[in-house]
Amino acid sequence: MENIIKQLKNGSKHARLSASEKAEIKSALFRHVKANPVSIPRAIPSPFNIKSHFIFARTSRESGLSRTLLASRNKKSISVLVLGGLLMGSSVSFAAENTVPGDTLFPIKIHVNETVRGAVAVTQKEKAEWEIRLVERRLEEFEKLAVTQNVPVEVRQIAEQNLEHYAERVKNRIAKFENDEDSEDALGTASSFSDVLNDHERSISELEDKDGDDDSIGVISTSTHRITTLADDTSRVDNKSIRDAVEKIREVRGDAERKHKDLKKKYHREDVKENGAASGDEDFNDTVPRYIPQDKSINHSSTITKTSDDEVGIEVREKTRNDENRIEEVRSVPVPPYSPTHDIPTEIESIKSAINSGNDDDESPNEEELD
Amino acid sequence: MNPNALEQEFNKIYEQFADAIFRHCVFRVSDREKAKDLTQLAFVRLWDYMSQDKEIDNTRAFLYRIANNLIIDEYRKKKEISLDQMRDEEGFDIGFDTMHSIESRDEYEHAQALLEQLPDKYREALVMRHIDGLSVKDMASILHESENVISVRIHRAIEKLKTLSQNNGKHN
Repeated sequence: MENIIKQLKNGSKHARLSASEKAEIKSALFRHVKANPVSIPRAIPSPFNIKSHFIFARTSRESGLSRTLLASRNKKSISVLVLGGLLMGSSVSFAAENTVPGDTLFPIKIHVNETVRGAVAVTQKEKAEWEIRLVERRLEEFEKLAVTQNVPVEVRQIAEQNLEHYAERVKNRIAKFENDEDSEDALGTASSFSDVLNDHERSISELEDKDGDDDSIGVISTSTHRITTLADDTSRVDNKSIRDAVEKIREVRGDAERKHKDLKKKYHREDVKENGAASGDEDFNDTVPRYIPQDKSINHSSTITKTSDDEVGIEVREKTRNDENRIEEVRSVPVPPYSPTHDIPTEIESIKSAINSGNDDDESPNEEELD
Repeated sequence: MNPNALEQEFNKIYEQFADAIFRHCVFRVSDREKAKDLTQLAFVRLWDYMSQDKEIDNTRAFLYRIANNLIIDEYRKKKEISLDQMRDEEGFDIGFDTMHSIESRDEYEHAQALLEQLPDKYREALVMRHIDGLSVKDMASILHESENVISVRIHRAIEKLKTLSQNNGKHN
């Protein structure tokens, strides 16, 4: 047995590569080594992952200048892209702010800038305020176009339509407030809407007056006859367009004010009804309503009125509510003029008893009895 | 590690283990050319691993493991031509360096012939233990077996070889 192992060992000693074979394999391996240089395993870096840039930077430091350049260029290009995008976006949006209909960037102003800014308004009230601001912006554009020379009629028409459209939106908003019975917001919105329109009408009217004079800016700045005539022509055009603009704004403003007035009347009336003073719109401010509920079916309210110079009376309004109709009865309870000799608690007691006796009898009180 | 240093390290490993790996392969596959290819392939695999900057604890054991896996792959391929057929027909040399004595050559061929008759499991254990001179511990690590299993396998391989040798002697 020992021999066999020994034989194996002895035999194996001579089993080796010749020098040429060894060199052959070595050169093949050398080629393989050169073809597959050292590389650190890494995932494909995502350009959207900040962490991956650090990995990339680390490997590039290890494997030479070219990679460093590549990595830095990659990072640079990404930051340039991001910065460029931000700058472009903000500058386009900024440039679009001062545009008027007919400009290239006007759609961006309407659809991007205003949509974004409008999205901030959350509550109904904020939305209403923003819509009024939008009308103001449309007014500004409309005015700008009106005072600018050589504006095509179509463009002016677009601006006019825009104004109408946005004014309509505010009107719808007010109507919505009305439906929701939100009198405060409806009145507030209507009021600020007509204020804005008023302001603009005033400013453009002033412009119209100024342009109406012969001393228009174009005429002053020109010296030759030809340019003067041109300036005259343009100022004439301007006058016409401004006049049109004033008319349009006046129309919208009139509409808004009418609505405002209607709302005012409506809500005053409702206030009056609620307070039980049904005598009319004019005198509701002069009376001091007081509401004394006593019975579910009968309501009392009393109003202190001055019947003559020296006599103060209490007007008792009595409302009896039936299922079908309301009966209102008015009684006057005269109160003797105040004098220090009067015993006030006794007076009050007498008034109370007078009222109660009226209720018990369910008839008109006898004035003699009350006296 | 520096790429150049890594290449130097690889060269060093090649000089140190090329013959041993070749010897292991030649006793396992009984084909010098195939053994050369397997040796080259084993070092290629080693470089692929090293170039990824991965740590290798025991380079020798690692190389033997690669070689062993390659040989197993080789066994799985269908053997198209038998060794005897090749030796007879094409003057095929099974791997002995012709510069050595005839006596040595006889010993070698005898050992090779005996090994060829052993089942691969025992052949593997004997080659590793007595030709490659690996420790039982290393063998256990390379073959993913316990040291006990390896010891028993070596013992049985020797027993088997003994039986075969006796049988051969009787026939002769």
